[in-house]
Amino acid sequence: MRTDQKTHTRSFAILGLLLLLTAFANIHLGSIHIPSGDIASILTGHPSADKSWDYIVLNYRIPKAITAILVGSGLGISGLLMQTLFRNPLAGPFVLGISSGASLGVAFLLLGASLFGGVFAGLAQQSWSIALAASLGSFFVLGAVLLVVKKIRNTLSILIVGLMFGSISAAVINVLSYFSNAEQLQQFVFWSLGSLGNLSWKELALFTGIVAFSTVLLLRSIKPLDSLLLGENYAQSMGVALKKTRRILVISTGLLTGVITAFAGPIAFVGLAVPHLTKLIFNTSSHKILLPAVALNGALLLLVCDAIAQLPNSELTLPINAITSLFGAPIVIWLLVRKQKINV
Amino acid sequence: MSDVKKPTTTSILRSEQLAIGYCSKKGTHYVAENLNLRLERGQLVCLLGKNGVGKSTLLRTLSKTQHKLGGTIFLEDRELSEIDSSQLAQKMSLVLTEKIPESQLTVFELVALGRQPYTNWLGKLSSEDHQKVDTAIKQVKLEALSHRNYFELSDGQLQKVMIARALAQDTDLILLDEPTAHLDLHHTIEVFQLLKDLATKTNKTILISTHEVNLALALADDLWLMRPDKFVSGSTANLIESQDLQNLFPTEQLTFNEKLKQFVFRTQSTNTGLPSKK
Repeated sequence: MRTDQKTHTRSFAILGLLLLLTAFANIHLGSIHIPSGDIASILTGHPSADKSWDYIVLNYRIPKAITAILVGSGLGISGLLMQTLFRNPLAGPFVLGISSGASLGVAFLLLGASLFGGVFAGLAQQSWSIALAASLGSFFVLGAVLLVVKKIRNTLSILIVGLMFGSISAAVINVLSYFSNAEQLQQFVFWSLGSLGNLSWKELALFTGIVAFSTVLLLRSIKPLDSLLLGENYAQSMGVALKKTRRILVISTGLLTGVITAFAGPIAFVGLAVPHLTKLIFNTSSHKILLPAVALNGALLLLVCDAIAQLPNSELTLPINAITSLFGAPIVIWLLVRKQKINV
Repeated sequence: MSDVKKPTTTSILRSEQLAIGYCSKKGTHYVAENLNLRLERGQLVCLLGKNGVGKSTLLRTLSKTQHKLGGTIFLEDRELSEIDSSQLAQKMSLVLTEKIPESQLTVFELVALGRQPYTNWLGKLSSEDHQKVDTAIKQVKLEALSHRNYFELSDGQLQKVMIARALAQDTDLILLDEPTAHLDLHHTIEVFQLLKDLATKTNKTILISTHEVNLALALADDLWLMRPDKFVSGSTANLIESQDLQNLFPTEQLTFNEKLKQFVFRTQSTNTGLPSKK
């Protein structure tokens, strides 16, 4: 046990250091080259050689890096929660259709204007209303999945149900797109490609607040999460108030996924892949270790993905969603192959 | 309630007019009704009955994992429905038949989960908790496997881990649903003997549903017999006298031998409904 703890502390230290380095690299890299010395001075509160550099770093690159950290850790955490709650290694906000639900909420808001009239059009201009719509959408799908899960115990069916909810959402979005005009459609398509770079400091404050709130909610659930590893009946017999725990987990996952999807678009695979990567590194199921580790790894992964998406020293930027999928899909395949080996 | 012969304080669990079964859209399916059970402190009680008669349903209902359909259950004179799960966890522990989901828990960690009702919000183990977990692992003789991942274990070893987890929970009452289902005869006897010892030496009350009828007859203080038509309880001797054991299994292959006080099975060829070889 002692050695376990030591290796965990070391892993945390290394990951923390890596996170700092990656964050710095992420801020350093971009379409305009800014010397690292100047970045360091901006970060420590001193003006750099060029005023426009100050502006770029303070109002664009730092918010983007913070967004990447929040999105990565938030999605990682919600993926971990889903995997424990649904007792399924393949669960995650994307697989269970929760991200699609958030998309659906945003689609109603952005595309629904032509169908439902002026109220939506007015609301669509507010950034908080997108967050609200996305959260409502993810709560809706998560609630529906939970209802179905009560009826069916088979874990494979749960995933299929999640996928079905995803395709229902996609279908509704298709119908909505069909009836909306080019401008609305463009706005929605850009949103759905995912982007970490569009947040003002004000929006970032709201984002941070909600992510922090859901994380604090989770702190009390660390123990119940551990006993949920043995299934709900055992968890209850060890003193877990199932209904309350389930409610807290659903609320925090819905909030996290909703607000992340709202601000950064439906980002795929991070929620699924990060918990698995973390479990491989730390080789434990204890949520006391896993929750912070997943948050660190998620932040790290998204910072790297974002740096790649920037295509350093070029004018081009790739959609972040493409990068995470390119990164994530092979990981999932590899996991499935590896899992097969364990089970046999 | 107070005019029964035995003082109520000795019975740790009892039920009045308990009805068990399932609710579904098609209606309510009663598995058993009018159950008036009593579980006395410090006893090892075996619940016997054929497959599908409702043993698991009864255990699940008594442990609040499943809703009762009627009647009342009392745990130490408090109504079970009024005890919340965190209080109940310090009084009653369970070993269930369900398969546990995949995870990377080690044997030690899994058994240590049994200490959750006593640990702080982070689940930190005190030295007393550590000691109780170690003792529980020792009792089922799995010390050598303590740091292995549980998915590396055989079904039988895992069964013992789950028993150790219940022991680590250190409750007065332990309910076990077919705890020896995956064990060979040697380990089955070992587990039964361990449970018997716990009941006599530490005054724990243990209720086991089992198909090991002969072991149950030999070791149990009391037997609960579940049949589709009725529920009877009593000591082996009582139940022999009342002819209830003789009628437990409605088949000719398996009969109760009163001299041996055991079930014996006959190997004579019977009509299996299959076409006979020519």
